[in-house]
Amino acid sequence: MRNLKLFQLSLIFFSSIPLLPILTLAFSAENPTDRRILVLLDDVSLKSSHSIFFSSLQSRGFDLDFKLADDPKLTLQRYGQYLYDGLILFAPTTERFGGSLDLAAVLSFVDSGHDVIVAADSNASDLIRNIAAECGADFDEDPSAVVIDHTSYAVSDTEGDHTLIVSDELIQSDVILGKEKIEAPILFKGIGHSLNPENNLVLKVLSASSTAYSANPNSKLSTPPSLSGSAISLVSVLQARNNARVLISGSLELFSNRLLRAGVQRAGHSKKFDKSGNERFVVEVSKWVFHERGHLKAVNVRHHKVGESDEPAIYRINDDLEYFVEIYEWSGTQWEPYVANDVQVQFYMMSPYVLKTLSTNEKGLYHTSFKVPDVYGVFQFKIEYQRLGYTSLSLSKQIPVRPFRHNEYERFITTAFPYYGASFSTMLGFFIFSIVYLYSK
Amino acid sequence: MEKASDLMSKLQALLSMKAWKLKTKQQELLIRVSILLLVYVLAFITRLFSVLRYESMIHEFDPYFNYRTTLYLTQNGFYDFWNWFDSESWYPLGRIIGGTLYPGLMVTAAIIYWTLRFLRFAVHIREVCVLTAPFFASNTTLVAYFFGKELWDSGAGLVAAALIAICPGYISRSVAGSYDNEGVAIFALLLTFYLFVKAVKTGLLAWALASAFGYFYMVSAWGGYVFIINLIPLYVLVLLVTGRYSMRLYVAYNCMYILGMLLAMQIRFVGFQHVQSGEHMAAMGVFFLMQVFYFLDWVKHQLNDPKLFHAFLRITVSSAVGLGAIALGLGTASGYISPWTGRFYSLLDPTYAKDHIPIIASVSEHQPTAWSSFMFDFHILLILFPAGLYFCFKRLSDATIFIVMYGLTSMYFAGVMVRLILVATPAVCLISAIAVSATIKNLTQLVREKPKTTHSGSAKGTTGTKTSSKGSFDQSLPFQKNGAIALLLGVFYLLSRYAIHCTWVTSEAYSSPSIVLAARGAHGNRIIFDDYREAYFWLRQNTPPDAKVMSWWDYGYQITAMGNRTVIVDNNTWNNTHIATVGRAMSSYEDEAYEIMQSLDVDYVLVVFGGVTGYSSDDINKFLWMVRIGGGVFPVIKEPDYLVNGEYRVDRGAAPKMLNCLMYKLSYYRFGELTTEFGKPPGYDRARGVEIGNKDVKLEYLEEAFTTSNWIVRIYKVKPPNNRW
Repeated sequence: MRNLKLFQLSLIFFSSIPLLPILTLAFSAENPTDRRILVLLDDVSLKSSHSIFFSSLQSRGFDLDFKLADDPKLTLQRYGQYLYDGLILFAPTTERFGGSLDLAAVLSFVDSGHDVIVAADSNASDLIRNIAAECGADFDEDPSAVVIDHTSYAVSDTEGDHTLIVSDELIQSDVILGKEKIEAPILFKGIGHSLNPENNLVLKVLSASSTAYSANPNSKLSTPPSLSGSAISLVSVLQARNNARVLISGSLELFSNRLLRAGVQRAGHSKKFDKSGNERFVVEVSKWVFHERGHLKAVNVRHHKVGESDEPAIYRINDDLEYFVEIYEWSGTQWEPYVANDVQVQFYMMSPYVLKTLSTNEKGLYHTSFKVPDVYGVFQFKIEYQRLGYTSLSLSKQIPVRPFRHNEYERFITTAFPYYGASFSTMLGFFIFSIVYLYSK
Repeated sequence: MEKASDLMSKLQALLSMKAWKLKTKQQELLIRVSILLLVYVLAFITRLFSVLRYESMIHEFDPYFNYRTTLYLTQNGFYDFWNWFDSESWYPLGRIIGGTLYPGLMVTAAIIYWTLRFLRFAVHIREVCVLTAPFFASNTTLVAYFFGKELWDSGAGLVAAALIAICPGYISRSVAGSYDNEGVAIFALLLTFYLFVKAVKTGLLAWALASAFGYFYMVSAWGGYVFIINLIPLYVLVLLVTGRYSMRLYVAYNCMYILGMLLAMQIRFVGFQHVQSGEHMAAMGVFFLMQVFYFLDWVKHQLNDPKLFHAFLRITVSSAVGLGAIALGLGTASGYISPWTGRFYSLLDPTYAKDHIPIIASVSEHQPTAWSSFMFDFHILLILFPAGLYFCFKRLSDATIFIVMYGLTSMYFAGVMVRLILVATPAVCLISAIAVSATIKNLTQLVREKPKTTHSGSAKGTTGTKTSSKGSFDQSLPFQKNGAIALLLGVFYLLSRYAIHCTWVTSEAYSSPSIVLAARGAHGNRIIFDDYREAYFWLRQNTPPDAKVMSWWDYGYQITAMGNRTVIVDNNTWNNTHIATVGRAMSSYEDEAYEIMQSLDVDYVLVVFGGVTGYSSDDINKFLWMVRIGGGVFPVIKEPDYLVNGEYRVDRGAAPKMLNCLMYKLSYYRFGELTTEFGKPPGYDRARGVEIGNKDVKLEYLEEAFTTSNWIVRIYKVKPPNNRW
């Protein structure tokens, strides 16, 4: 009986082996694009009202799992394994998530390297505000405040309170927004936030124009608005130290079919665009957030002495060495060589002793050679490569540097010949003296 | 067959004859050899208390480094040892071990190990290391015997051997497991002195050469060789001044100095110090003075004219002294001759280290000696020492002058630093042995001559000297036989008290490995705290191999040897700035300390805490030294910030900076919840006897990784920087 049971168990085990490649196809260091995404909605109707955005994701191969935000069976992980690689929170008014999901669960999801898109809206719940605040974006405290702009609003027949604003103040980054420039301005209707100055990882992607401010449109402005001008961020992104990416938007409508399809004309401008920049914007930003772009990896760090090929366990001072590293960029489907001329390596012991720019062969291989400084100690080959939009590369490889061995010094130095002469002549003289002294009468 | 049996019986007869009818001299030799043998064995076994009480283990701090290097030496051979660059200590600076240690001890242990291996004794190197110090202590007793014999007579030698075998001052550094340089160095020290005295006495090159080799061994084993290289010139100078200059002295000193210097230069750590360092200049000066003396002697002999010679003498001496002073001044000014080191200064001026070098002053064994430790370590020898000096002065010779000088100088140094009691011990033992031996000899002579003296009036059987000395006694003391017997009994009583005291001290005070702590429980039972090793093995098993551990420097050697992890600072305090950086981190607020720890790539922080067990030599009690050493380099750390009205306290009245510095937080983290003693509030610190002031310690940048069962060692992990900020 026991044997039979064991046999069954092993059968299950071995039959599950072919499944492993499928499992590993998901998010990993080798394949950083997210695959399984949980979408949490306030309302089922959002699924159809934002269908363009969702179908764009699905067409790029993402597996979207739509759930209501108060679904009681909601969970991100099971048996310590995350079930999803990404999370889209289109539930701005939800005060409490269902199931085991809460603020801490979302944050630990980010801290374990997963990506999140958070969209707030006017009347955003404290939960959503707290998630944003933990990521460095503070929404306007006033729950009824929205971003108003009396000069840079979208010309519209129905709305007259200038809350549907237009902005084209985008971050200058090809990595985040794609190589092609987004020509049409972006329509935004929602609440603004400011970035926490203590957080230096969060970035404004879309900011309001300098005439914007955040206030309740239905009441008279009695006090100066707490947020105003270009300090208002409309959409921000955070790239955490573990390269998890978070997008924080003050507007859920930004993603909606209505604004994606809408034509746009900025007040005071005659040019009318048939289609707003929203679709391009949300698609490109979502590509970045879900690691289809801007993900670097550094592999095959090698170093050795010039003229040798094996990596030594220790260097000697004044050795000449060569350092190699391969850097690739993820294109969404495969790893492609990353080409840049600003990758630097440090030979570091409490402070950099050597700082060299690496030269590349344009096929991903970076290389440099230098002389080990005349200082012994435990050094590190350090690459700290942080560029806007790219995941940060932070490599360090420890290597001790020893002084000369006792037999690695020169045995005879020309400048010391007088001393050699002196000692040998003294020895000879002493020998002759002894003979003369002992054997002369 | 018949012949054979005949031969056998003859042989047996011969043997029995020899065995039973020994001459007095042979009897004496037999007794002497057997006493020496017993003393030899006694010196060894009295040092085994620690092995019996605990186990065969290495003690304390420095021995762990010595053990680690010895292990490396036996595994990798001498040249790798010689060239060893250790990247596991002093991260990230590293340490050139081969060039910064005295290799004598390690090489000695390795040779013993290899010899035993060659003889097919499958010993572990640890056992060899544990027993090296007792073995050399035994050898020291032999040297003491010969030295005593040279100084006085073989009786004094035997007493000296017996005294030094159990003297607590020496045992404190040479119990089994105390695998430190001093263990072999005292042997080398005494051997060098003995051989030098012998060389001076005989004037033979061979003895001088032997003493040079003894000196070489001493230099290779311990930094205390500086004592030799200053004492011997001082001795020579005294002999010159007192008009005891002789050709024997000339030969002995010159040969010993020149060869000893050349040999000592072969030790990498010492290098050119003999010609370049201020501490060694006295020896060189005396060497030149010796040549001047010899030259003057020769001129005197040639001139044969006192007047002319006096004029010549004046010119030569003044020009020689002038030249020497100019050379010394130039050398010092140009930096060729390095000035005296701090340690040397603090020997001459005991208050120097306290004011200028906190890192030297912070070591407990560098503290000035309390009178009680003299009593503790010497017992009756302290009283016998002046008596011995009296006997030495009574019979002045080159040898006794030497031992008097050795005794007096080393007594002074012993008063300056606790650890130098060790250096004074052989001298004290030898001088006391002279006192004991001379007294007993006199007394026994009195006792035995009593019947003789009754008829000495009629017959002059005894020798002249004896009668003269005894005659004077006869007249002054009517009950001299009884008195002598009483005095003899008194001496034996004292000596037996000494033996009891020494055994008691050895077993109670000096056999504790200090890495395993023992205490008496409420019912008188022994409680063992093995927290140190628990923590180090935790480090070894649970942390990544390249993890860096920050702790106060006391524990550096142990962490590298037992935990096999990289440390920031260790007991080889060669870089004051690096130690000060650690001191600064420990005495800063957590966020400031975090930056320092990040810059040093620290992964774990280890603190020693005695609040639960009442273990008083923990980091909180050492903390003021961290503040002082840190503040010595980084003036942002100020000692008054940690004191309240000049008082160091950890309870509610403590200084706010004290209550929130890293060391306080790490020591008392979660301690506020713990009830340590019945009837006391939670958070009652047993080591300091107060309720702590900050019971709600919150850590932001570190997290508790491991705390040993009695809370003596606490290890914290440094958290990585916040992911989203």
